[in-house]
Amino acid sequence: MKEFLEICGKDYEFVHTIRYWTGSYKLGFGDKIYLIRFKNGKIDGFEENVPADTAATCWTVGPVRTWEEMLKPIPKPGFNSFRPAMFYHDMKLSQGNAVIQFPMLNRFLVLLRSYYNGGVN
Amino acid sequence: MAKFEPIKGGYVNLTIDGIEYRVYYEEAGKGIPFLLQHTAGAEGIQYRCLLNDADVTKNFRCIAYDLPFHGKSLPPLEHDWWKERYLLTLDFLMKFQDAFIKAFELKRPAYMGSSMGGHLAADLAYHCPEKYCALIGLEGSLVTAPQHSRHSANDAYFEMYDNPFIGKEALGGSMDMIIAVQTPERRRKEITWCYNKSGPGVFAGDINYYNHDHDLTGKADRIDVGKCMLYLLTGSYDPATKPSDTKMLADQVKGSYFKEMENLGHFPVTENYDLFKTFLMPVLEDILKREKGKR
Repeated sequence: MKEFLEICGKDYEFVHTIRYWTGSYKLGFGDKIYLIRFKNGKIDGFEENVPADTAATCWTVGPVRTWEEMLKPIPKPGFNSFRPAMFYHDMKLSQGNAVIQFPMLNRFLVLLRSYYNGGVN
Repeated sequence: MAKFEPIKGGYVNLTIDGIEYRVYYEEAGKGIPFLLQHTAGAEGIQYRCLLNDADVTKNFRCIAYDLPFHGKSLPPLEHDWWKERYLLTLDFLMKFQDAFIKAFELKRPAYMGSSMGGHLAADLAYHCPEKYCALIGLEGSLVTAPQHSRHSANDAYFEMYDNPFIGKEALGGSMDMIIAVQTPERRRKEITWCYNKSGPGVFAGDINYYNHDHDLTGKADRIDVGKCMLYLLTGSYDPATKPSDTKMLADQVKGSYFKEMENLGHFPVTENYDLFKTFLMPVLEDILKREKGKR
């Protein structure tokens, strides 16, 4: 996660999506749950193996089987982003005011998919 | 040397229910009139590639308009629109169509619309097929799927998309999630840009029609394609209207045309026009064949 977040921190598009933001992102791959913190528009560290009920500004928490499909280079329909995965594949996606983090989540997923497949984006 | 496009823009003033609206439109081509309806919260610029496509414009007079409150069409100039919540309705959309067709003196135009415009194709087929020569619904269905419409237009959608504490980029980010994964990045950014610059609360207001007014449950089997052919095309990556949702409508409209569009999502016209065109051209050729000798 540390190496991946360093990639995020160097990605102009990702950094642009978190500009001025102070908050946190809970990222759950099945039982493995991370909490990534942001402060004044920068990544401010992370914790791993946090409890499932840890409070966060936004979150994407889903079954491992859903993530495995989402992280394929060309995911199948229904797995290409968080909203379809929420509608049809048990992904929990923060709503309400947290939709303001959607651009960040979109870029995060693109970078994670690239990283997961050994690529550089 | 500067490159000019064969598209001409203009304004027409239409009166609907006693209120005058200054409506922007762009057109190109000659032949069968072809009205082009944009998606919720968007504008006619979504059809810029089609308007530049000579394969289409050599046989069709293509007209893409911005509904009032969208794109270059301002809210009504002589009406206190800010004193009430903006809500789009089926009634308004149908009256808008009538006023537009009358103003341009169009004879039985073809119509194509995407998303809410796709829903509208089916509604027009049900309510007034005699006014059109063909109706093409992109990403349309019998009714909006319950997982999208469970919230009323007055709560969750407005909280998310007409919220002064949420920046406009949230809307583009939300639309980004229903675009096909194969979409070229430049086209993806064009779609989200278009949404990010939409009028405040307009997307949420449009969803009133999309989620609530549109419902052909128990009615669709009465659509008569003998009066006007209904073509239905839906992208395989659209989670808002899945191909199976559209097929449910097609199955109820005897004789309608249905095709799933591989590798396209909720915005097929803009995501990848060249790919979309491979699905559109057989439909347009069929319309030309059916209209031969009728005009």
